[in-house]
Amino acid sequence: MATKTVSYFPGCSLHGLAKPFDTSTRLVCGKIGINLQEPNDWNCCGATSAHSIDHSLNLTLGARNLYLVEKSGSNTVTAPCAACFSNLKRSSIELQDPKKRQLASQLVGENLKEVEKVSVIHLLELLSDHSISKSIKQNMKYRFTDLKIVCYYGCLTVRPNEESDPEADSSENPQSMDKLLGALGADVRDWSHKSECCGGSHSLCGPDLANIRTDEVLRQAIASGADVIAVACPLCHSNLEFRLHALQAKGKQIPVVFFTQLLGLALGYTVKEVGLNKMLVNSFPWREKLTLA
Amino acid sequence: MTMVITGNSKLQSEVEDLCDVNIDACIQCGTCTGGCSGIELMEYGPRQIIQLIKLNQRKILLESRAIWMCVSCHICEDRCPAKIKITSLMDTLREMACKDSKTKSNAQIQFHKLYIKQVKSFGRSHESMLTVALSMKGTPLPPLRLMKDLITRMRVDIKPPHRPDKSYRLAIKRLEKGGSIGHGN
Ligand code: SF4
Ligand code: SF4
Repeated sequence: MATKTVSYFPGCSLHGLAKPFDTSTRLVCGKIGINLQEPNDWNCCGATSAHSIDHSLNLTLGARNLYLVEKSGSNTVTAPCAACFSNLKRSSIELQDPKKRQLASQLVGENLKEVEKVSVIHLLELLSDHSISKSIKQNMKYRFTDLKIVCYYGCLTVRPNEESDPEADSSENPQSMDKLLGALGADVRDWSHKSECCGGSHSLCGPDLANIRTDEVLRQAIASGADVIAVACPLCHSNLEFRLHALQAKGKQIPVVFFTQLLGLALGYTVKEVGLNKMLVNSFPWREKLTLA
Repeated sequence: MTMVITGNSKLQSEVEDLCDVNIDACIQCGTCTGGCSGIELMEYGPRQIIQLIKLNQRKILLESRAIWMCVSCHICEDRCPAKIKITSLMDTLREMACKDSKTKSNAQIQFHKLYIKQVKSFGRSHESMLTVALSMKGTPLPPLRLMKDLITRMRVDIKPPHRPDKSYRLAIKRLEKGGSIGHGN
């Protein structure tokens, strides 16, 4: 089994509501020989408030994180949170400009000469690497039989999308999660809202918009006939989950789980170990669909 | 009435100086507005916002609800045929509004300010403390049943907040003394 060390940026949400995303990510990576290294004293990535009203703060936060990654000797940082990924990537693109780099160096108090070499990737991109996805397949203990999944990427796992990056997934019809979960035997459905927005951080400061967006996503996911929605972002997860919780008495319920929890189950971890017992919507009515690989 | 625009408006130059966009490249196709994630609650979509910048409508824009209903989803700029960085442009307009003494506070400004305050002190955000701080400013707490279900499932962070290193605190100090970096991406 190949071992690979990658810098890991969990972000604030994965220490809170999205803890099961963190736990299952660590289990999956551990099993297939990826050593996740958390940069010491990482700080908030800046999404959404810092970039919304204080750009200098945002770039300082991003630059310091990228510096900590570089200092730890890594040239790649992966973030499971789509907002962290997107905002760190935005900062890294901005820091390609030597003038900006110099200003940021002064604020961070370190020489940021090398930060432009750090590449920022979402966890989906890391796990989609050919040798890594092969390793997942080799370690599979169980497969999903007849489990219908829709993959919900949300807006920021795939944006900003650089045309110049040949490895980047499509932002309109992304495939990385479909392929990862398809390889576990699941029936991955095509649907319309793969990379639409869930309303993001607005859920905390005026939920109207988040309700409009999540209702649409849930309606389309249910219409596709899916048993479960797989997500790759803590904000998508909490927005969908909270909306379902509020509609419990009225609407049809559908489990919303992190894609790493499904990978974890296939790799032999239990429902409890991957944190599916912590979800608000009963997440394993389809347990019988897990069969020995 | 026909309107003839000659040269760039003052607002256009100001915005272009602050962020890396070329407003003139906009062909007013409306692709941005067509896919905008905040559009139901905006009085002007992103296409109109570009037009209002050209028309020098500073007051209308900075007082608009639209700039606060943008959720920074990047869908507009991803699809824009002229590659205009609309998401950065929206950030810039929000920052301009925050700096303008005439801007009235709203739920979003209040949220962002509390969030930033927390990040500046702890280096990270802390969901449960943020929820409590928001409720003290008048935002209703999440429904009781939801809070109860989250607590029994051990989803709520009860750890004390992070304590950042000195290097972090110094960086924040430099920023507060007025260090700044212009907008970009
Ligand atoms: S998509 Fe781009 S070119 Fe079209 S109206 Fe919007 S900003 Fe202008
Ligand atoms: S980034 Fe803002 S303006 Fe652009 S599509 Fe998303 S919500 Fe609309």
